Amino acid sequence: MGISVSASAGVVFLGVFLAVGIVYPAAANGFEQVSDARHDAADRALAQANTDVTVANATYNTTTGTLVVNATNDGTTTADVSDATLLVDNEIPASADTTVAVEGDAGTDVWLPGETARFEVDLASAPDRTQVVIDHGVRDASEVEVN
Amino acid sequence: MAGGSAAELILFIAAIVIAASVAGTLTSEVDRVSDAISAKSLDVAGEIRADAEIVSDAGAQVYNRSGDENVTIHVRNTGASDLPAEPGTVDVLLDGEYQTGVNVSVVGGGDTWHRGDVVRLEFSVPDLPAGDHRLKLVVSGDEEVFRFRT
Repeated sequence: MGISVSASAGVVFLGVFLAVGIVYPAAANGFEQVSDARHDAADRALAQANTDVTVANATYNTTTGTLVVNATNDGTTTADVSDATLLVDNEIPASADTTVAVEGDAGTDVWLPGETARFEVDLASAPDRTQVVIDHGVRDASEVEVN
Repeated sequence: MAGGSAAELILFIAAIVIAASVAGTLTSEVDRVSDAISAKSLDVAGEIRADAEIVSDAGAQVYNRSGDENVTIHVRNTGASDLPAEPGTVDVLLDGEYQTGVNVSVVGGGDTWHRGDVVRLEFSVPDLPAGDHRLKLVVSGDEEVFRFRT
């Protein structure tokens, strides 16, 4: 009787040991994945809070048919020029018609804090509103002044 | 005496068999639970990493811009993962009504909605009444609300 109880208890304990060995790596990996993702989300939220853009002016010249938008990076993070989006009356103009220059440099992809980017778009008619969207979806809109 | 030993042997074997079946059932069920934990944690991590932002200007015309009674909005992938640019990725509700036939296209081309990319969502809403409207967008569990007037 005594050895039956001991042996069967040993088998059950072995099963419990195996079960813990199976569940622990899965739980630990899962926890790590979720906590990594939460870390990323917190980093993104911090970067978003530190990102800001202001449209200084938006002017459409009827003679040349060009919309010029000057926007300033008012945040403390560096924005990507290639990721910046200009919406004109809720439409995104073709990239072939758009030129972007940061502080006069059209070749750079880095828009540093305090710098002003100049967007130039060829348009057939005068738009009403324009909006600049940069990293993390941070944006600013402005009425277009027609000259 | 010999009868007693045989009975003890039978009881011993029975005890071992029952203990082994208990241990086997326990480990197989725990294996299933750990598989479910792995799958669920992958899903949850994916949902936390996915993020989108409606970047359309509510102050400009949203409805019937091109004259074909479409609602057009632009959405930027502000998350940390790339998403497929297909209608199954986004759920759109306009004034509480689920919209089918949503056309999803990446601005600049491509089939993948990379981080920082903007997609154009377009769907037909014939005879949308004038007034205030509320559009709700769900991307991988992330909900965004956009209000506009026609």
